Amino acid sequence: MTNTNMLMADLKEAGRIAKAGVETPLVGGPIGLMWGLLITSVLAIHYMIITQIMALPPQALNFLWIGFAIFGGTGSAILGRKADTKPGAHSTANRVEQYVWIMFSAAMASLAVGVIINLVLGSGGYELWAFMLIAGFAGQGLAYGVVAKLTGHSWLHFAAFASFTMAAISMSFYGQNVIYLIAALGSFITVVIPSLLSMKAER
Amino acid sequence: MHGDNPEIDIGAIDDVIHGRLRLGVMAYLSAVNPASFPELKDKTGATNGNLSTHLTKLETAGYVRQEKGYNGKRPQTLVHLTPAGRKAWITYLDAMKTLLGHSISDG
Repeated sequence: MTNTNMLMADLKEAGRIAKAGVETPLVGGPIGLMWGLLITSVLAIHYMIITQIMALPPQALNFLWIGFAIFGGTGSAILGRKADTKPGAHSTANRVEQYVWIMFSAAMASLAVGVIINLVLGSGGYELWAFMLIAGFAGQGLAYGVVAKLTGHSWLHFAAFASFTMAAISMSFYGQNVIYLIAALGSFITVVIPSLLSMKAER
Repeated sequence: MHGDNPEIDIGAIDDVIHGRLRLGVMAYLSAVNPASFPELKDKTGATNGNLSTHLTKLETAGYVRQEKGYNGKRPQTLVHLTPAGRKAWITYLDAMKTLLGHSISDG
């Protein structure tokens, strides 16, 4: 074998290995699925409480959302540790995905803090929480779009488009109780379904 | 190793990186960083001992860093590509491009 042929063979093998690294699937599917199922359920229960389909006092909403934060945070930590051990978990694509969603969570948390401060010190009403749903869908669309573009998983553009559509639909129902039911359905479509597809691609 | 072809300047190739297994390790780490020891073993098809030997060579050169720790109760070794390693990898690829370009164009 000549030098050139040996070099070419070595580089071809290196290229195959590098490609295997680049093409690692996104491993965050189970975390997305957990959040998707959780937010879908919580929003549906929220709707049932405020419309009194579920005969619970409004204070139950506080427990509902505190429970959401605790359960979601704990679930994320457990599933995140598990995802971290999967092959390719530290690929560029997975690092981008992980970081984008961390930033999205930080954005939503900062909005929640602002809403609480407004409710306690300002003149805002509880409809401010509904604004978070709209911001959530819009931010989610942005997050999906960035992940789709930077990781090459271009099918996520559909999730981005669906999220932006849900932001527009939610905005059009701002001020009405039904926004929570619409958001529950929207969360199922824009979080649960993409997470399931992501998990399917991982297998 | 490749010294029988006068058209290739062997001195331009980073000998620490060059070698099929080390090349494979560097290639994978350029895409997945850090990678676990079993992951590298799986992707390169190396044995434990062989991979360990070559990782030590890369680590001595400062191209990778091995982090020994635990994942839960299981011991885990994570291999990181260092900034020096990434720079050396890019230089290596540039050198290869030049060498192979010469070699191919010279027939």
